[in-house]
Amino acid sequence: MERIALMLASGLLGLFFLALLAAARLQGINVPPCLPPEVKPFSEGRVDTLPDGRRQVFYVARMWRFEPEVVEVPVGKPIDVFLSAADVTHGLYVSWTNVNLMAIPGAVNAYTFRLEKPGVYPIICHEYCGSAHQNMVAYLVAK
Amino acid sequence: MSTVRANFQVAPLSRVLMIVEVALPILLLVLGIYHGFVQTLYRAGIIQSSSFAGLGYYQGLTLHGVINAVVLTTFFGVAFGNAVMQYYLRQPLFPTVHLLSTGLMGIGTLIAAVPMLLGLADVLYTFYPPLKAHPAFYIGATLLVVGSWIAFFGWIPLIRRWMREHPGQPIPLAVLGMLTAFIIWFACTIPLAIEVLFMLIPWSLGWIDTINIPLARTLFWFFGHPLVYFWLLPTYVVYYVMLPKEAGGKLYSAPAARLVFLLFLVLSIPVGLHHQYTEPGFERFWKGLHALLTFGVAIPSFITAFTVAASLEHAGVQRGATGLFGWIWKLPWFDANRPIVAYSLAGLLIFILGGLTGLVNASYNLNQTIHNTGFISGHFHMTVGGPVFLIILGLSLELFSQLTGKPVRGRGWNIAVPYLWALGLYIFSPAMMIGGLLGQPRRTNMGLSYLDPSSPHFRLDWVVTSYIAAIGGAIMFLAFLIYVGVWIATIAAPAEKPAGLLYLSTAESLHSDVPTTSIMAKLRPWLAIAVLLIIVSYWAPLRQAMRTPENAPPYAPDNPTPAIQVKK
Repeated sequence: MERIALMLASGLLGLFFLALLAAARLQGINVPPCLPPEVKPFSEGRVDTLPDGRRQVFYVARMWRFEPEVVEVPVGKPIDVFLSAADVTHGLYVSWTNVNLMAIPGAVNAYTFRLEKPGVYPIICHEYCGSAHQNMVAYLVAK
Repeated sequence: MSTVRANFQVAPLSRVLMIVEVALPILLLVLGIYHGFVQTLYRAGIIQSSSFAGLGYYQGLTLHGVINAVVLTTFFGVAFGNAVMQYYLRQPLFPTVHLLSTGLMGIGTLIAAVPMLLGLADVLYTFYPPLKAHPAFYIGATLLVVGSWIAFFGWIPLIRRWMREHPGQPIPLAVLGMLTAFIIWFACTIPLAIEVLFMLIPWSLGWIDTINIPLARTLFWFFGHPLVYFWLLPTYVVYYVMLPKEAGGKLYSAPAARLVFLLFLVLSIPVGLHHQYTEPGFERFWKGLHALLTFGVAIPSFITAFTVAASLEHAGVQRGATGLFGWIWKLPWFDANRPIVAYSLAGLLIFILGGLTGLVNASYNLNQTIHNTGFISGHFHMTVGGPVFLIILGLSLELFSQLTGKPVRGRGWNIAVPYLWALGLYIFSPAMMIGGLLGQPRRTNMGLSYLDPSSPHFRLDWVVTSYIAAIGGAIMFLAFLIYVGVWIATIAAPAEKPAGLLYLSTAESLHSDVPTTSIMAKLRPWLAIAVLLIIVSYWAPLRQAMRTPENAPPYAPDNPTPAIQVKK
């Protein structure tokens, strides 16, 4: 009995793990990548548009705002987010998406995604960053 | 398993020290639980303020985390370990070691409490740098941990002596469980000690200007996840050793229980990176490896679910149950003279959802939807705030009663506590988790922004779950108030039995226990695998964290300019 239960549990967990790998490989749903250490933290937020039209947003998280605060992005096109923390640790979570990143002092985080529906997406700081943490919000406007 | 039925008389000094070990954290818990409830009111926008009744939101959140998750669990681990060692090894504790251990833990707790109560350590229980607390916060926490180490060191000669005197017998199951809990604790507090002693304390004292933040975080989670097994294993000891007996049956399989403790020893440490999936600086392969190992550490919990259910089924059948599920209704759910059954069963009901949601958190890319949202708080209130917390409450009262000779008063109320807590939790936690799926952050005073209709950041889609969480929080708070009432009634009652007579009910095993020649009666091979896995899983992530381009100066939580100006 114990052996059967053990095998069933292990088998089920193995199946779950394969499903996660499949989602990462086939659907591209993954955790943030590791940028090379040559990528230095930046202290000013900006939006770049590459020659091929691809949008790149460089967010700086600081006590207690994101820079830039409001960014317009095209619907359905890939967007690269880069994230740097100017002071303490922050979080960046784009509501209703998989964009969920930690802003860690000294390192640069990154994620690529698309917004498939037009609308206003609040960006929430979800890591405690001091007394006004609850006011740290920015917006992505997908058009 | 050898069954010990006689009481054990605790020596006078150890008796007093053990009373301190169970009573002090319960006293502090009044503040910790109070702020748990008040937080649900802030988060629902019922309180729209940065502080309430003289206690700041983040100050209270720090107390809630430190008291409930660190002070209470560490003190209970030591107190229950002391009880288990004396009772099963039939030997007194070393008085000097016991005094030193409890003294350091108590003094450390007080030293850390002062800056928290003065608002000089609003850094939450994870104290992530570069937010900085007063140095006394880190120093007090260090003394608490060192005190618990000393308790553990004091048990080792007792265990060795027992093994010498009982050749051919495997060590008692409860002793094995507490031993593995404290080996894990000792091993995982080493990276914590490196973080605190060599980085945070000198940096908070101003001796060094900057520290490497990703390295500090990696060392913290190297400690932070095994910590949850240090919380969980004493609970498993109760489930395996005491619950089957109290429910009227036997432990289904002692070998399975031994295997569970040994698997935890091997797998509970090399998994911490699953708290850092969303962080920069680690190659994905290592995050994936930690995900795989975290799935591995779920296996001993699956075995536990099976073994505990099988033991309870056996108990139900002994009590005359028939049919496939008849045993469930035959268990003594509401027997006021068997509070351990009520506290265990309520905890097990909670743990079903707690364990499954833990698998969600561990799930690598699935974590992208729920990291740092209310889903996480919803989850761990169904583990550490569920079965672990209830076993601590139930056993603390029971140990206090035995140590003082005072019978528990209000026994009917006492067994209402776990079920009321479970009811509140089954309202609170799902509300937090659904809120988390809707994007609600954890650890955030939402009443000042997202749940304030006059704020530009107001989120209508978060209102319903926040209110339901507050209702759950109120029910949990009520359960705790009843528990405090039972304590007060028990303290006020006169002693009826000799004080310090320890008795832990002990189930026999239905299947025969392992022979001492078996690999499961040995510790060293399992320890060797554990060390190997730790090196393999942490070598590269630590190297990668050390490559971080820039270090960070300290910051006070209410000031965006650094506490130390650093030239770049």
